[in-house]
Amino acid sequence: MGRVSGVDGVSIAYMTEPGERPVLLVHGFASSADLTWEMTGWVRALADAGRGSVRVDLRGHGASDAPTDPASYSPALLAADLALVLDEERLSQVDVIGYSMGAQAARVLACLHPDRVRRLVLGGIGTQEQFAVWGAEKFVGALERDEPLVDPAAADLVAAITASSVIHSGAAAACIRGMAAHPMTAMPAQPTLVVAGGADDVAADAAALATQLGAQFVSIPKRTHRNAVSARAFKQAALEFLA
Amino acid sequence: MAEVTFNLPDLGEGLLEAKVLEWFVAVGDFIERGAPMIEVETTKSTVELPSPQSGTIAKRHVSEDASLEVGDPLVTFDVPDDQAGIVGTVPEESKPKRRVMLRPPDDD
Repeated sequence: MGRVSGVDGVSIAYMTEPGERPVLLVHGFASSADLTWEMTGWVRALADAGRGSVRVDLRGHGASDAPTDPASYSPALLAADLALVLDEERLSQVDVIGYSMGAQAARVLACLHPDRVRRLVLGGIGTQEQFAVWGAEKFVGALERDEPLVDPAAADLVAAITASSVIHSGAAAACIRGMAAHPMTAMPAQPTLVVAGGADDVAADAAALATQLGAQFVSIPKRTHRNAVSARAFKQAALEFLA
Repeated sequence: MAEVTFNLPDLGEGLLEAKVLEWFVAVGDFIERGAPMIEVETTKSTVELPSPQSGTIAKRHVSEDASLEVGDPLVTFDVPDDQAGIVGTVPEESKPKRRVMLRPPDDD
């Protein structure tokens, strides 16, 4: 496992797999590099295609530091961590695959460091930052005080976080508040593929995002926000796009 | 040929149940050990399980969208006799059962 120190001193953990033209993999909220990319077969699928990979535990998640101050979380800070990992691994330019909150971070990375990102695959997001849509405080209330959430997709996510061992509730609340405070406006110019489950309520308008970005769009039939990420169809579409 | 059955492995963190999202192999397909075999979903995450064995798929014990518990039969392989039992655990007696061909009763 590699480690870098973020711009504000937060320690970021990451894992690498050997192979040609490594792909940077960025997981979503309340997940981890291994849960999203290793257990789901992505690392193996990339290796089978000859591609190396670098998977990062986002701050607050997995083996990275988990600050509890909302100011420690923003799309720009997450993107800065990713750029530092690329520096450490001496990767001047990579393809990036991000899922959910990781896709938002990947978008921002592509805009802040356009020369570092060749192609972009964004999974499980629509046109808006989802915590802001749901209301960060409602979400935190559900997480910390068990307050009911009206939106079933949000309630599902809270249940998943509660069951999760990859994020602490203090870091989760800080991450939600920090991310929701920054509306998503990054419009990367790189060739982009948008992928979402056909039953993903969190990314219901993913096709509209693809239109905004001039991106290709692939919908995975029947898949939800939770289970679209591991779909073979997603991997095949991404590998083809990044070939 | 011998039949080797594998059960749903422990997926960690006390997870006891999984739902089948997608099989990547059909009955009759040959699969190499380590190649992606099935995708399952637990309450925490989704997992792609590699094949524990090289062999031909003889039976898929659970269909897509159905659930199974850790320890439930997942898949049965047909493997050459000299390879059976080398990889993984064989839940049945190591001595292959004698196969008996049953004749359907004569209608007339």
